[in-house]
Formats: sequence, C-alpha cells, structure tokens
Amino acid sequence: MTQPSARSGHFFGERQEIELRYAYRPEYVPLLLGYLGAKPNAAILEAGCGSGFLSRLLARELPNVSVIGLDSDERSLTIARELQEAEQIGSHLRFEQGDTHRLPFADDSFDLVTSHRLL
Amino acid sequence: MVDDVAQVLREQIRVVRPGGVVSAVTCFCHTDGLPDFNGRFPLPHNRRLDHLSHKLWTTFRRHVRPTLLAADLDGLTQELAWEFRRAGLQEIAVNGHLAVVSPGDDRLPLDEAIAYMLARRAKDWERLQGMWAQHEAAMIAAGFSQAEFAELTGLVQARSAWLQADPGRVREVMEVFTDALFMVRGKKGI
Repeated sequence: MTQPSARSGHFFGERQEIELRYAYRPEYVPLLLGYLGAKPNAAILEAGCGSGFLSRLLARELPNVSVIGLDSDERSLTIARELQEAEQIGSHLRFEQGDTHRLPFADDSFDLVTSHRLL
Repeated sequence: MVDDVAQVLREQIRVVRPGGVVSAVTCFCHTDGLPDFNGRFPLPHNRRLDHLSHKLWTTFRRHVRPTLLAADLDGLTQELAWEFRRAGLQEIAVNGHLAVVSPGDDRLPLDEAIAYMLARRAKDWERLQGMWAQHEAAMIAAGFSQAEFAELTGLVQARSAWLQADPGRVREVMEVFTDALFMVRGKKGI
C-alpha cells in the first residue's frame, strides 16, 4: 500500500477490507461507478490500489473492462492477487508494482484513471 | 495518501486518453474527519467522556482547524477539486458518501468486529495524542484546558481497558464510526 503521509494519521491499514465492505454496500455500487466515471469496455487504472478493493469491484461490476491495479507495496499486491483468485475474477484484472509518482505506462493509455484515498 | 498531490495528478492525466476521466475517492483525513460517536457504554463515566470528547473536537474544528485550513489552502493542498481544476481537467464534478461502520452490527463476524474495534481504537488514540501534541497551545487558548485533556485521556483509557477485558463486549456497545468520503472527477481535454 502507498505509505500514508505523516500528517494524514488516518485509519486505513489492515482493517481496510472491513471498512470498505461497509463503505461500499451493494446498493451503493452503481452510484459509485457513476461518480467515478467508470463505464463498460473501458481500460481502467487504479493508482495506489493497496489490496485492490476498488480494482476488484470495478472488474466484477463492469462488463468487458480491463483493469490494472498499481501499487508500490508488493505485500499489498500479494493480498490483492489472493483476493482476486478467491473471488474468481479473471485476467481482465491484473495487479502491477509501480510508483504512483512515475506511472510505468505510455501517454494516453487509459479511459479512466482512478484512485481510492490516494490523493 | 501521498503528499505531492500535484505530481501524482500530473502523471494520472498523462496516461489518460484525451476525453478520458481522472477521478478519486478521498476523505476528510486532511481536516481530521467527523466526530466519532462514543456508543452506549454501560460505564458511569460515559456521559462525561461524551461531553469532553465533543468539546475537544468542536474546539479544534471551530478555533484551531480553520487557521490551519487557511494556511494550507494558500498552498492548494487541501482542496482536491481545486487541484483537479488547476491541473487542467475539465467538467469537474464532486459527489459525496457517508460511510458508516459499526462493530456492533451482526453482519460483521465477531472476530472481525473485535479486530476492527482494537485497530480503530489504537488509531483514534494516536490521532487524539497527535492532535494535542501538535496544537496544545492553540487548544488551551481556545478554551480546552490541560486538565480536561488529562481527564479525557484517562476516561478513554478506562473505556479501552473495559473493552479489552472482554472483547466480546463490542456487541453490547453499538459504537458507530463514520468516514465521509467524497469523489472528485474531471475530464481530460480533447
């Protein structure tokens, strides 16, 4: 997971999956997708994905999208991949290691770039 | 969360296609969030704890934080929608959502409820101490005394000790934690 800034002092660690399950109850998901600008068939990047809650949600909910979840922390990515497998989400979702300050992608690569509590 | 929002945002705009969208879910972490509700603890001091806790964070929000916000806004670090606009994104939209977590909620398995409560309590304690360490003089000047802070921290510790003596008590106290999330979205020009 992207390191928290010293000033944020915000709860967002091991228990994030619990908090996010509550934050994004099923009835709220369509609204969230609309707010974030997520659409079918899109190429989506989640920058600073942590354990990949939002990336997995996007990959589950939207048909024909391709989603990349990027994070600098390999441990978080391992958890993300384990959860992806447990939730039987296919290869249209993949997790990559990289720095959100210098994204390892070419210009104009995605239809949507989003993030969850990164900014 | 990152400190250099502008740099991270520049990178996101670079890799999105013209006409594509950059969006973010963020929270009120930068402004120290909303108050927690202290729940229905069967403890004699709970009413006093509620009073002091409410007074502490109200004092902070009314008298200390506005000064910090004004200072930070000069550096454009607080207002994410402003950062989106400054980065050149168009059709900026902001929406919000109040996320609520309650360890007393039966839909959360007991072991997860306990783990959540302990982690959350530890983080809130850190937040309480951190705020006071950073703003003690301003808080005292705004009317929250050193003695009140000492009493508050004592009561918080007593409540934590009561919970930890039997973690299953998380089901009895109906605490509710809130985090207001907001979403910002902007479109890259064609």
